Formats: sequence, structure tokens, C-alpha cells
Amino acid sequence: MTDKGIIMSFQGALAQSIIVEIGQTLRRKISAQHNESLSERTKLVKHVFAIFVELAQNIMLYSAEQEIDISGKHSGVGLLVVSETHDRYCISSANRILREQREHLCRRCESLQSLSKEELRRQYNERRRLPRSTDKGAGLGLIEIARRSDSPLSFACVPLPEHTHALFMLSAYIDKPRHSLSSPTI
Amino acid sequence: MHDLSIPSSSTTPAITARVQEGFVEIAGESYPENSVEFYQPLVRWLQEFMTTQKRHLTLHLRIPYFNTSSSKCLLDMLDMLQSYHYISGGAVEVTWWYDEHDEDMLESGKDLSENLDLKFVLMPYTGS
Repeated sequence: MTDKGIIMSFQGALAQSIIVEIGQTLRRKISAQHNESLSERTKLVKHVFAIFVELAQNIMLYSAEQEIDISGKHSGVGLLVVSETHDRYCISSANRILREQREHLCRRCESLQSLSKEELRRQYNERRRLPRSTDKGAGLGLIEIARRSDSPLSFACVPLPEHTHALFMLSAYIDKPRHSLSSPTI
Repeated sequence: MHDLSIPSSSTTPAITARVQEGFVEIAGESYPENSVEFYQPLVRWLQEFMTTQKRHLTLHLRIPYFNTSSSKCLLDMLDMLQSYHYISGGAVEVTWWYDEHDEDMLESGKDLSENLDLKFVLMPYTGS
């Protein structure tokens, strides 16, 4: 048993209400899959949820593809997938970015890949003190995702046929608690 | 000035602020679409309190989960209260409540307290 498949996927315009719905379902599903101690389950569910929220709100606010509803409200368009293998969860996102954001974003992800948990914690705390770059986010999302992950982030930027945009994909991994691996599934 | 009472929603905490007692509580998860906008009424309330009341203020925070944008808002508010504590002479005390089964919630409190110079108490509670 190496591949258990997709737990949840969403493609389209991400409004806050959709993020809430999917997020709650995700928490329930993952919590129901585990019977470890309360502390371990809390941690696991919280880490998956925290990464999901940061990726989803990132698409909602910053995707280069935006949908506008009748009230004039913008929602970013993108793809979110939560999948699992026997020993870990994978939370992935994909969305359009402007071509000129490509290099900066990739450099940022690369720099986070090599940092230890302690270095990530320090960088999070330093960056939290900086003035906001936009009024919506604090630029902390990627660090938070890396902090909650059990393996380095994997990412890719793919050029799109139109020269103005690229596709940005990011995956974060969370290990399942060890002893849940050997116990039989009921 | 008036007391402040904002009920919780699925993505925002309940906020209670009482002038006479110098009491502020933020309780619940925080991941609104726009954190700056959500915390604006509390920021204004705190600013008014600091300029007109000149009294002690106790802040109770019980926030099981917050997104990064809310995290920035929290630190900004606490920074503001730190200035009030040292420059304006208003005594500020913060209690960070954490679920005893939630090590991340404890760590979030530690992260904040290490970045501040305020009386900051970490207090466990038993989760439901």
C-alpha cells in the first residue's frame, strides 16, 4: 500500500466561504483517520489545516487570475489538492502568477528549503516585525508553511504559453504519526 | 468611551473590551479574509483607551488557531501596548491561554512573549 490517493481537491475561484467549508471538512476527515493521543492528533490536524489555510488564502488574495462576482468582489482562481500516501499527507496548490514574480518566488522557496525549524522560527519572528508590504498579507505565509511541514517544500514554476504569466506550484508534506502506520485500519 | 463586544464567527474570534475594568479578551480562531480590517475596531478602542484612560489593562488571549496575517495584527497590537506600558506608564498584563494538549498554541504564546517586553503569562486550560 503506497498510494491512498486524493482526500480533497478544489479548482476554481476561492472565496473565504469556500475556504471555511473545505477547511472544516478537511479537519474532520483527518481527525477521524487517527486514534493517537489527543496531543498528537491536535498537532497533526492543526498543521494540515494551517498549511491549507495559508495556501488557500494566498490563492484567494494573490492569484494572477481573479474572478469578479456580481457584487464586484474579487476571488483568486487556483487549484488545491490534499492527498495522502501511507506515511504522509501532501497539501498542494497551483495558480497563475505574473511572469515577473517568478524569479522572486522561486528564490524565496529555495531559501526556505535549507532552513532548520529554529531558523524558520527566527525568520518568522523577524519578518513579523517588518511593516506590511500590502494591506492584505504579512508576507509570512511561506515561512509558516515551511515551519509546519515535516519535509522541505517542493515547488515549480512553469512558463505558460502567454508570455505574461507562469504557473506556480507548491507542495508541503506532513508525516503521519509513526505508530499509526503499523496499526491495522479498522 | 464605550465597551466593545464583537461576537465570534467561523473565522474570527469574539472580542470583549470593558473600559471600567481595563479588560480585553480575544477568544476563538482567527483567519479572516482581511485581518487588518477585522482588528481595526479593537485597535481604535485600544488607542482611545490609552489616550483617555491612563489605567492598567489586562489582556486575555485564547486563540487556538490564527493565520499569519492575524499573527501580524496581534504583534502590532501588543507592540502598541508595550509602548503604552513603558512610555505612558499604563500597566499592561497579558495572559496567553493555551490548551494543555496543544503544543503549537503554547509555542505561539512563547514566540510572542519572547518578542515583547511585557508581563506575559502562559496559562494552560483543559480543552473541551
